Amino acid sequence: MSYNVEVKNIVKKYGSKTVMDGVSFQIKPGTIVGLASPNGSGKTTIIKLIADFLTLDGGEITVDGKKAGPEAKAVISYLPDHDLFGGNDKVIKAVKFYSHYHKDFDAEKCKQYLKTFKIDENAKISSLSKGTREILMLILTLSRDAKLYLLDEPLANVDPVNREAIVTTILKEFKEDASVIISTHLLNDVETILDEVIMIKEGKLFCHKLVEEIREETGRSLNEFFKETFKVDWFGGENNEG
Amino acid sequence: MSWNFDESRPLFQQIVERVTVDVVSGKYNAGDKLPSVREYAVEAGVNPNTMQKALSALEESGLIVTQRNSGRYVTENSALIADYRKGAALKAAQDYIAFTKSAGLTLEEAIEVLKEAGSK
Repeated sequence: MSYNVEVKNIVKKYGSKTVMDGVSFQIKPGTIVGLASPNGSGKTTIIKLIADFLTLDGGEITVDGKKAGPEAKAVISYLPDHDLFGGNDKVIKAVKFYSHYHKDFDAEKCKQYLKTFKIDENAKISSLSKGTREILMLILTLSRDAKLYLLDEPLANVDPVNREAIVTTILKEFKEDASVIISTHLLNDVETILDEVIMIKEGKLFCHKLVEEIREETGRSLNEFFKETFKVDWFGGENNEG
Repeated sequence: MSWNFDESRPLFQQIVERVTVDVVSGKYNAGDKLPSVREYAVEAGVNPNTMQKALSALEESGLIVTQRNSGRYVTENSALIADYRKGAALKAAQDYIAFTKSAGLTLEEAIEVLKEAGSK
């Protein structure tokens, strides 16, 4: 079995602080993986390291068998957790930008999705709501024919109705030869579409499990399991009465 | 609108249960073609691999049959469907008996209540 994503013993430091400390995992093609950790525990760092937007201080990452570099970047469709376009750019300009820079971009598919989500091609991006800008970025990201989709907090500002539509869009675009990594703390919105979950705790891999297995073994939803795992320790570990 | 799930139980089991109900209740008829794994996954709002696993389990039970290159169908074996229908009724009856027993009713009283409910 060949893996689509291989993360081997990666280390990342910000100054003297080690934020990623020897994390390893593999992802098979045809899987949708949730990346979960509390705020500030390294979700975005991992996504950026895989996307090659940050450099490693140790270890190695390969995507579709390719080490970090232009070849690997070409097969990764990355949805950042911040806006890429601003100022007076129109929606259509973002579509043209993607067409120009990504050979695997399907402009027709993209325009179809813009219609589905009622986003006007001629609207200024800065005039769209935060949630709508997020949907636009997600549409652009999913309209590529990539081997790996990295979605960093794709739902954060989206209302519940559109969240469901986005989840449906991710499922519609699912490909057996590609993988999807979704970083989110809104697990209850995505947990039914995940194969696996990767949880990061204090810079280390806490677990990498099949979500169905978590349900089977704990009798809990992924969301409950996550909350249980990372609940705030009010007593600093001194109170053992539970 | 995706299906409602109890996310604290494995989803594939719930899909198996739901499709079984759809077959025994006559929502699908014997011999009906089912949506593809992908279409079904989108409709249900679940991961395609989970849907695949559920449909494989339904194939093993015989309720669904796969025809090479043309997709999945509800079995034409109406005796098997009748068996599952009876099985589903039995399960519901057991739950009912367990409830009435815990509420202090004898089996005879529970059956009387059932008849009364059925006549309304």
